[in-house]
Amino acid sequence: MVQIIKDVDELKTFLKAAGCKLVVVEFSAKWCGPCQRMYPLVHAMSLQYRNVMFANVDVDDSRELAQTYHIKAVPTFQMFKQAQKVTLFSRLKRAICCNGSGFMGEPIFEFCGADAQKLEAKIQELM
Amino acid sequence: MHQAALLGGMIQDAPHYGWAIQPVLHDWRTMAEAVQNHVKSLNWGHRVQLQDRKVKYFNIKAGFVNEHTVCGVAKDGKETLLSAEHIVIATGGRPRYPTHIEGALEYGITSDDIFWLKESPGKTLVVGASYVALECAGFLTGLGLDTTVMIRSIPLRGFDQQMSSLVTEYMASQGTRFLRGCTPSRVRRRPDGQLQVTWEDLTSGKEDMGTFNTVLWATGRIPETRSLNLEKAGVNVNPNSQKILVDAQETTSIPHIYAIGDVAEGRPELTPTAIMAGKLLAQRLCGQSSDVMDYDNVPTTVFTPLEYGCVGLSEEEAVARHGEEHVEVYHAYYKPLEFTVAERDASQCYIKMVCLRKPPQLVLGLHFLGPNAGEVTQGFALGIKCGASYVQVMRTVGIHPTCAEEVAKLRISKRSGLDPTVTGC
Repeated sequence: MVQIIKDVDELKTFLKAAGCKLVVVEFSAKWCGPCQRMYPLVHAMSLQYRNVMFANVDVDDSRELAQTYHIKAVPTFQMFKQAQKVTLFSRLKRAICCNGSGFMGEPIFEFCGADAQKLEAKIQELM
Repeated sequence: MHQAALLGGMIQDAPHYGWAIQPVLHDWRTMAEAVQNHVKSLNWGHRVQLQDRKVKYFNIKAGFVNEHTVCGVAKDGKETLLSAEHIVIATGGRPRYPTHIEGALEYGITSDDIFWLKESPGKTLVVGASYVALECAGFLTGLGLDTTVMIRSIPLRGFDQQMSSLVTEYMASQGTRFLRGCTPSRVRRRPDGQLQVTWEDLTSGKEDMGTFNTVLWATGRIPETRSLNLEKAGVNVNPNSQKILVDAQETTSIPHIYAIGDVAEGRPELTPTAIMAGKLLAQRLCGQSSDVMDYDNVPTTVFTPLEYGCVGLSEEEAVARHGEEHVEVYHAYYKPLEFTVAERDASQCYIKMVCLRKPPQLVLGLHFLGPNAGEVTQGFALGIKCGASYVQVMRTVGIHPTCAEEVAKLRISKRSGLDPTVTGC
């Protein structure tokens, strides 16, 4: 299933809950034809890849969030993943980042366009 | 929507070219959704561009507090005070409802609404003679809807009147009904939901009535200045038009406040013109240039079913300015190639070039009525901006087969009295 994300706080929560899993966030718009075509395909992928978390952000409903992630075109797919290797340093870093007000969560990969094959290939590569 | 209507016409032409087409229906909803989605994508594009250029965007409705400060209210009621060294007003205009007509506000719609209707407007009465009125009536007719245009006096006021009457002639030949010299007195809603319009025929003085599903007001636009509190800033407006008075630098009565676009007095109400004026203003404010906007020879096109593109002076303006003896008008009727096989009536396909009579015969205005008029006019507008003469236009080799080449082939003057109609079948 694809989680609808409304704002920065919801995205933070979602990313945190994902743990080490790959997170795929689609930024889309209701007026965008290619986005409409992708909906069922992304939904199908969310059912197929159970260890990957899927979310959707509507760029009109969540303008601030779209702005924060510099979305210029739709659909844009951004993928997030926390560091898998847990070292003392990364544990410390995580503690500092999460406790501070600074926002974590830089996408490790991003692409624009309604390319389902490209999306699936990248998911398989990163998951 | 104009394109949707044109496609309808092309579908009708198609069998002549060998395409076997079954009767085709038009679905308003599909078209409206596509148009609405496109508009929304444009709004998105603008927001992205502002973001990219690090422009702070406040989605608030504001008015002046004093000449350097504006106060704005957001949707949630939150107030924001903003002050600036320079302020540019570009609030544009809105369609005007003829509120003196009973029922106008309650039962009629404007061009703002037509693109957002979820259902087809059905049998429509368009009141007005502006390009908005004629363009709307044109595509509604093209989509197969029963359409009537009510004109009080003349069509396309401000445009060349000979061209304007050819525009309406073509529309009439395509099935648009015209009620000339009439003005509406009231609109009522019948129990069955339809609208009953009563109007007066100004020549006979008689009253008449008609029933429509939709009434579209296209009787003029008013500038968005009412809620700006311009008095608080000392910005002057023309008391009749309510538009902001500006000089050649777009400056208002207050040195650091400027106005561009439809809200400013004496400007052509065209988007590209406002955009260019804005860019030049920005460059001047940043000290990058001292160039001022040239409002002369601005090309434009009326996207009626048969399109009318023009740049420069109308024939009547040229005659008024220079005198009839000093003006030479070359003209020709022509038949677009695409009309021949499809057996379409090309009686109104016409071109007129207004020039100074004195050699080399500077081109004062070009008027083109035919398919793709916008594309045709855009190219020639450059020539006219560069001061093209009739001689230079004649030395320009035409591209064949096009409609545009007919401009370069203009030889017959009105003064000669020779027949400008097409030769051949």
